[in-house]
Amino acid sequence: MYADLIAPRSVDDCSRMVEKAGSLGYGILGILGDFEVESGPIKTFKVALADGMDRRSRQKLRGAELILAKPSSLEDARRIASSVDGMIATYDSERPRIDYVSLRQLKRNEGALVIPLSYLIRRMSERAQVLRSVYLELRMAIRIGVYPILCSFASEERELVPPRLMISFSEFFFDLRREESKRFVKDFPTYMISKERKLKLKGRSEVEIQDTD
Amino acid sequence: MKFKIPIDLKERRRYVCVRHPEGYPLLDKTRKTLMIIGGLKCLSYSKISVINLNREISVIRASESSVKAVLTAILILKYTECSEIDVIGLSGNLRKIKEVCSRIHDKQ
Repeated sequence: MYADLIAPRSVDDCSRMVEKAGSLGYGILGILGDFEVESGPIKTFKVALADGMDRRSRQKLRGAELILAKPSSLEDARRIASSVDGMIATYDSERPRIDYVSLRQLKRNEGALVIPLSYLIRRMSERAQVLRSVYLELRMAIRIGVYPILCSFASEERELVPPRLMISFSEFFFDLRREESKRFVKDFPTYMISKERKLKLKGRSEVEIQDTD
Repeated sequence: MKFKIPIDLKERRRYVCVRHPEGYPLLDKTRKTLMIIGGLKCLSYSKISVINLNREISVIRASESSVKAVLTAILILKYTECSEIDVIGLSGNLRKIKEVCSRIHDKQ
């Protein structure tokens, strides 16, 4: 079952995107933000961005099945690293901002490296060198054992793309085999929200967010 | 003396069916994007041709080895220039692709 993460702007956008994702062949959809829509046959889950250490930012994280951190707020994310489930790859710089230390911390939490396709391609068309940082971070992630996830992060219905385009993109740019790049949109995102992972992490996560109040 | 060509050296054709806005210069745009991404990868992907089935649907003919480059080029076009572009189907058989396209055209 293919999976994608989206970042809709409104509830209407969100419901339209859920519908289109179903027709494109996705079975699991992560929604960034507080949107509640009827998902129908598609399984949806909440995704949150950890962008600060204040109380309001932390409240946003509650109830989210997947907590992501931006490369720009890496220092803040490091403080709550055990509860961060994934880091967004550095799509806006020529040099990687995620290092071995953060990736090792992420591995302890069975975390993922999220590659936002729409942001990356837009940046890439302005400055092609940004691809290098994502490539290097991806290599590090694979070496350490962090799960790479490829998603569209689409904010509109028309930005959603079929999974086969995402697979060929990673296959082409990151020199991967088709089976490997297929796992980025199929197996790894599914594992991130699986019971298996939750059982593995039981007692490790959540506690630290609540304690910092 | 007979000379046999090994089977894996035979390059198979791949047909990518694309829906786009009316009058969109798909061949030029795809070639341009392929040049850019080919430059990034130090490779060349120039052997493509476009068959216009109707005003909105075209078929890109590429080789098996360059189909992922063509799909990547379409993805880049979708995010940077024309968000209405969609890949409808992919096959190694032109007849099948034409069938898919005609079914979509009839629905419209």
